[in-house]
Amino acid sequence: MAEFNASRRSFLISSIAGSTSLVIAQSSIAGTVVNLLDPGSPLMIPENFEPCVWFTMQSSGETNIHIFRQELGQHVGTAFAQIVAEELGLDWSKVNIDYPEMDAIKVTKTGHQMTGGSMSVLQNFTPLSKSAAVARGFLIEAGAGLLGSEPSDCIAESGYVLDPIFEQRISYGEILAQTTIEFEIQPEELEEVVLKTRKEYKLIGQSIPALDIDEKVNGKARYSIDAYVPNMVYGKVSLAPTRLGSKIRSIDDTAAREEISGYIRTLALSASGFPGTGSTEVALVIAENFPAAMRAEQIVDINWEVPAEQRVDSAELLASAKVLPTSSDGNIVLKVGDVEEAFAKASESFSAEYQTSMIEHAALEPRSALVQNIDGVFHIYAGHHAGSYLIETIAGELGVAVDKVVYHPHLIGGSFGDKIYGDQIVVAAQACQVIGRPVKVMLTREDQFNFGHPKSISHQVMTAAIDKNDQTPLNTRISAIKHELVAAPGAPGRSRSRIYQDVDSKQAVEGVLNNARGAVAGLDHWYDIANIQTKYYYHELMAQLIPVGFVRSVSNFFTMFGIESFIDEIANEINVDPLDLRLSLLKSRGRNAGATARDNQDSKEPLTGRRQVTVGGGQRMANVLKIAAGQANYGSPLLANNMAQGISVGAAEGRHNPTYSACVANIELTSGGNVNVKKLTVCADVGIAINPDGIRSQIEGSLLWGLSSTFYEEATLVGGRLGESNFDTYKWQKNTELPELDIHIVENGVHPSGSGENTLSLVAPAICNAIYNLTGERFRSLPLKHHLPIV
Amino acid sequence: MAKLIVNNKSYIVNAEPDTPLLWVLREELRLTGTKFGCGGGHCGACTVHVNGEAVRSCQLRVDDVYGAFITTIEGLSAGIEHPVQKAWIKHQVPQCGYCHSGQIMQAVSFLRSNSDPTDEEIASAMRGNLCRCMTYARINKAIRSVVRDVGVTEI
Repeated sequence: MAEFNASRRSFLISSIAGSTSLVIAQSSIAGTVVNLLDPGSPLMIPENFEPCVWFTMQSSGETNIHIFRQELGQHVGTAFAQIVAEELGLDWSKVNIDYPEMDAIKVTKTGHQMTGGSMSVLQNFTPLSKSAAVARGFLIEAGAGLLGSEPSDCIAESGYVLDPIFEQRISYGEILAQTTIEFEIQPEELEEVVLKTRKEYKLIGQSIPALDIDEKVNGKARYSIDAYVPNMVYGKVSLAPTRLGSKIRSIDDTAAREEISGYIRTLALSASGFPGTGSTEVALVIAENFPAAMRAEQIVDINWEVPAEQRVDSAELLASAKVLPTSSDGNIVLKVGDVEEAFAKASESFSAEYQTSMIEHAALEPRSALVQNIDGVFHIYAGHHAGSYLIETIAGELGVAVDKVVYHPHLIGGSFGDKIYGDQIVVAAQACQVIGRPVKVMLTREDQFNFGHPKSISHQVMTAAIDKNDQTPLNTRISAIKHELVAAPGAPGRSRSRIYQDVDSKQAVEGVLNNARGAVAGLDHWYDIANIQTKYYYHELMAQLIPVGFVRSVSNFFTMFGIESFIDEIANEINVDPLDLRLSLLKSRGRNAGATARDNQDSKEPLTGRRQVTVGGGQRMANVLKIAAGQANYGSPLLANNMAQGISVGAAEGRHNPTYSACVANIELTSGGNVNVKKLTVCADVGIAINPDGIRSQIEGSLLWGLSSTFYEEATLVGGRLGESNFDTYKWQKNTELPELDIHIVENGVHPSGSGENTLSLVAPAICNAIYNLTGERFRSLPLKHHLPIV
Repeated sequence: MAKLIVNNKSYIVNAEPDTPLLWVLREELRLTGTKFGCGGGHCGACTVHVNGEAVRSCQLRVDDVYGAFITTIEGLSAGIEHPVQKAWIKHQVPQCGYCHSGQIMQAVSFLRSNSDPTDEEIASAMRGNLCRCMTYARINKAIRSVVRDVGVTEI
């Protein structure tokens, strides 16, 4: 057996004595497999190469990429695998993905892993690339040793280490069958490693079929709702008359005990969906099978104490939002220049108000969870966005140490933010602890509506100081915008406020903004306007009544609806084309220039890494707007009389993860006064497209979500709970009357940004702007079903 | 004892007569490819074939289908060989995938009854199958590709 230490780096390559390229070799250092038929002579298999927590390479030549972000339809595993396989030089046919469990030890290696905000690729692109690149270096070194070549002469490609000079090669599988590389990547190696340039990419940028599709067309995919362990019982929640605030006075289950075969008992429990948000009392009806639990829940009599102040309807909720900007001070989110001075000087002002409704996640898989106690360790079988946080939450709820909870990820049958919330997991864990058997809790659709976390309602007031004189330069005709937003956050926590001296300032004075998480994204738009004052008003009544949540595109949905409608309204007021007005204001001034591209002007290579995702700033907004407008033949005189176009541009999810995107909506007015959306033309600058078809798929879904939210979706508040309880009353987009989706992806080439939800919010303002252009009717509240048909 | 025939295998089941077929398939037979979405026949996630017809298994009492030939997504092919499954893969239709057992079962039944559908007929057949990831454009593209590329006898 040969061993050698590379002096430059701290790793060990051990050759397996006398081995050939056989996968199963006899060796003292290889792993042992017990042959049950002949335990006296165990089989030996070579050690796996596991240089970091992100992937494991086997002597078979296969590599498993470990995915710690939650799969919920975005094919995140395929994107991560492409990133790793690119730098590691893998043969794509030998790439697998898996979703490892999360526990207290694993989290020390992975750090906290939270899937959300379309940030998985944004956050993992550089760390995964670097780990894979370092590991590639060690494979080259080991391979060169076996080939008798100089490592510096060798390259890695498609699963082989090649020596082009002597024209010899050895596969990764052969290397790992003959050697054991004992090595863990060190932080300084990640710092030093040089990544491939875009020109060298072979896998990144390819529309490779997703690795998780096959199991999703034959019923084999395992979702949370499919979790099973022997001896488990089933829990059906029985919910209060109000979403929050009601208390259980008593439970009478006499009838269930007498009549329902398989009924076990009913527990009074309490859960919140997210630590720190409103907690709800829940009765959990437990039975040997789910139909029995459903039957029993019908006849278990739960006596609720319902506080009168929770019995609120939609009209009162909206009225309470509308008074906040005048009855309270609010908090500064963004300030540029001096709006008061600008309004004092302005010749005219223009004002408008916008409202949006609650929107349900309405994911097709309702939330569910199975929790099992094995020797004092609670095992969670479910789908959740943030397993590393979940184990902490559940440990806290159960009063056990964090190392007594393990999360086993299951696929999620649609989330859109829904499975950030773990009410049902808390309930299942509590019940498992009480009754001592594995408990599976499944929400029915009705439960899902009444135990859910819909998007907050919103109310916005926007006022602009404007100049109608067409001799004034276009980019100064809006001298100031005051923007007031009333909404509630999706989780507790702090956000930042920013104050800039003027439009050319790059540095802000930062402050703290409370109760605004997931409520203010998108307010900090990219328009170069000299004076801006944006305020947030925390809608406390909303949060008291409904534990509102992060729903796809989150607050961008309403902030972009306000901003992109308002900018069109101003264009009309000052009688200029809305495209011209926008382009005049997207000149990358001050903070709108985005991150610095290079260390200094003499640097050849641009800076890389996540912080460079904003490089280009407002200029990229202008670029995508021009492309979308051009692709859509914006302004064409050939458009029919009953048709019109409307535009919008934005950079959701916000300044930390902007996908600069623009939309042109082509609409048609029917003879009955209804609006048909014929086509949505979209251009999105994603920085670097890892898998263009995957991105396209996400954008297709986002645009139809946007369409659905624009026309149909609205959850109402009736007596303190949602008025809708299933899809017969909560309407959304079906497979009918679909617009043509014309999607154009561009890349500035610096760093990838998100694509899961970033284009959704463009749809509503583009359509409303088109409706105005066609009919002169301006709709300032969503959904549009309340305004249609136009008579 | 009641005998249920699913994917050409017979099972003796022990469910209350009014139990929805869906829950018998999922919980008793552990054929979990058929999904629960709404329980009210609004979404189509639980679509299976009964004697070849696409039906919502959440809306059927189990005692009404004893003796009938029931096919679930697991019985459509041994793996991923059915032409509609192949089309779903070719067009990379699924995102989260949850609704697609139902979408595929609906599409197969429809294509067996209409070998040369118009776009309007496809829309009409598929409008009851909801997809919250909104993969509708790809669903329709995949169905059209089956019509174009595959003989109807193979469906």
